Amino acid sequence: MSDETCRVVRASVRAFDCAYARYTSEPFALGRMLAVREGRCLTFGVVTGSESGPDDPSRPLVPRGDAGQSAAAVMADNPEIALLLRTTLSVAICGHIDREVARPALPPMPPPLLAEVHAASDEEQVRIAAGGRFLVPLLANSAADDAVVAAAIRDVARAAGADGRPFLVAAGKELARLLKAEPSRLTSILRAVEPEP
Amino acid sequence: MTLRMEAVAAELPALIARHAETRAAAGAAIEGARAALRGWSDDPVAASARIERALAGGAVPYALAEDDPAAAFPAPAPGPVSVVGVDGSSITPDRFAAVRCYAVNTGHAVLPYGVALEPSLDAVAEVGLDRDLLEGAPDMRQAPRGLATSLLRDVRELERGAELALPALEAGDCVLLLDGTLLPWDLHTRQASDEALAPYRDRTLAALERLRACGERLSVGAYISASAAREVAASLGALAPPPPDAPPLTDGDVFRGLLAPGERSAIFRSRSSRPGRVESLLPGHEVAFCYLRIGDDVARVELPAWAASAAQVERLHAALADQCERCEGYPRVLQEAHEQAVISAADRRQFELLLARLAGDADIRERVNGKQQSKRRRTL
Repeated sequence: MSDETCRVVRASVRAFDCAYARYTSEPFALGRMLAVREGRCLTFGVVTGSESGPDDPSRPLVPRGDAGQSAAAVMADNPEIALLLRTTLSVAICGHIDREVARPALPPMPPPLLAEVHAASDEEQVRIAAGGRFLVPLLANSAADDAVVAAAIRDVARAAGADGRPFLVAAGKELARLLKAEPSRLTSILRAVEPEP
Repeated sequence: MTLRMEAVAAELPALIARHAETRAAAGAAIEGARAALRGWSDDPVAASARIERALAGGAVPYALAEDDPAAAFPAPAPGPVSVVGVDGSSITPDRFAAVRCYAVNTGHAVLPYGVALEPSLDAVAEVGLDRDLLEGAPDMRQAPRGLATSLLRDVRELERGAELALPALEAGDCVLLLDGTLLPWDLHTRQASDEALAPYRDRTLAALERLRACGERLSVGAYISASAAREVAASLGALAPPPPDAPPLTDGDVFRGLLAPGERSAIFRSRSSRPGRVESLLPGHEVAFCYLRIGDDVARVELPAWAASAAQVERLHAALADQCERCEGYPRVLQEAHEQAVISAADRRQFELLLARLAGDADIRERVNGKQQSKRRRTL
């Protein structure tokens, strides 16, 4: 297994966890839509969390390195450490493609364990998120907090390119519909979606 | 209740007091031994001759120094090097099992420092039937359980070390570290015939030859933390007999106060006329050793005499001091090799269950044994 390959290590129809073979300082970002292209259908999900640490919980990582030494330099000076760490991601499922039909809904079955996990292509993101409907399964997952939802919307808007603005409008409308009973949450997400001034 | 704490706790203060008395008696003996070491250092030729006269031909192992016996060498700065560590763990064939099967897990760590080599942590597992350990020499059946498995594990550690050192040398200088004694001591057991032990001896020789062929760019060391060896102390005893009531000293007792943290002693060579010494079975591969102070620990470092050139010893010393600093007093590379090799109690149980299930699938049933059954059930 390549160090850069990420594979499913726990799966349900609502969420899955995936892990890299080793530690990576640059895992898939929060809110990034990922794709599992194995199994009965293609499964798509959004990164809701990322955790790195020792593979063996009984061997905690202790701080090492001299003052001013960068993380990369400390890793290079202690070559065993990178081999004993692992990065794991948690992913909320937000859609699937079954026989070429994109559905912003939970898949009929979990993605296969040990299936490879990739970044969804721009085209796949746009298909799954069309009209903001991927927000329905996403908001139903308690792991998808405001920051995750906002990051996911921003990422799809980037993937949509010139169609990013219409997507943001549609997603905003869908959010307003889904969160009409939670105006403060709606406001929080919309503020987080807005681009930095 | 297993151990009755109230009963043993009442006896502990008296035991500790007795130990304190022993330590006090040892103090005088240690001072005497250190004075003898200084005398040896002042006139090494005459003192070595006295030691030889007193101990040569006897059964007590002793040692002679290759250089000034009282010398203390500070740790050199480590240069670019790959450090390879190997350690093994094993499961002894269970005589109650349906299929008597052993497992040997040889773990390794390859850690490059300033050389272009991929680090690696891994283990190689192998299994076999107990008769595979015998190699056509059924008298090993009479040997204690685990002896053959332990021998195989020791031999595999040396072989694995040679397998890993060769590619590491392509990237630059290399230090190979083993945990425990350099040579498998069980090679000279009297509990098995020469015929039974011959395959292990031959494999050990072959691995040592491969390592020797690597040349000066390879340093080899076997690390024994808190060693209880007494060879230097025996030599000093020949120069200045210890007080009659003194407890036997270890070499560590002698060197603890002479070496500063990170320093190593002179290189010594083991001498013994004891029949069946393991070195006598491995001609050309005599053991040299030194002591290394790491914190409060005085570790014994064994190395092949052919790997005791100044450059090889300096590289070994630098790497060991650096490795121990990285891992709170024990070589990092050996700790990681151990972590790769270790077979936990849960692993052992899983192996036992898997073997029993697969044997059962083949209609081979475990013989019912009352003691084992009783231990497993533990019913009231």
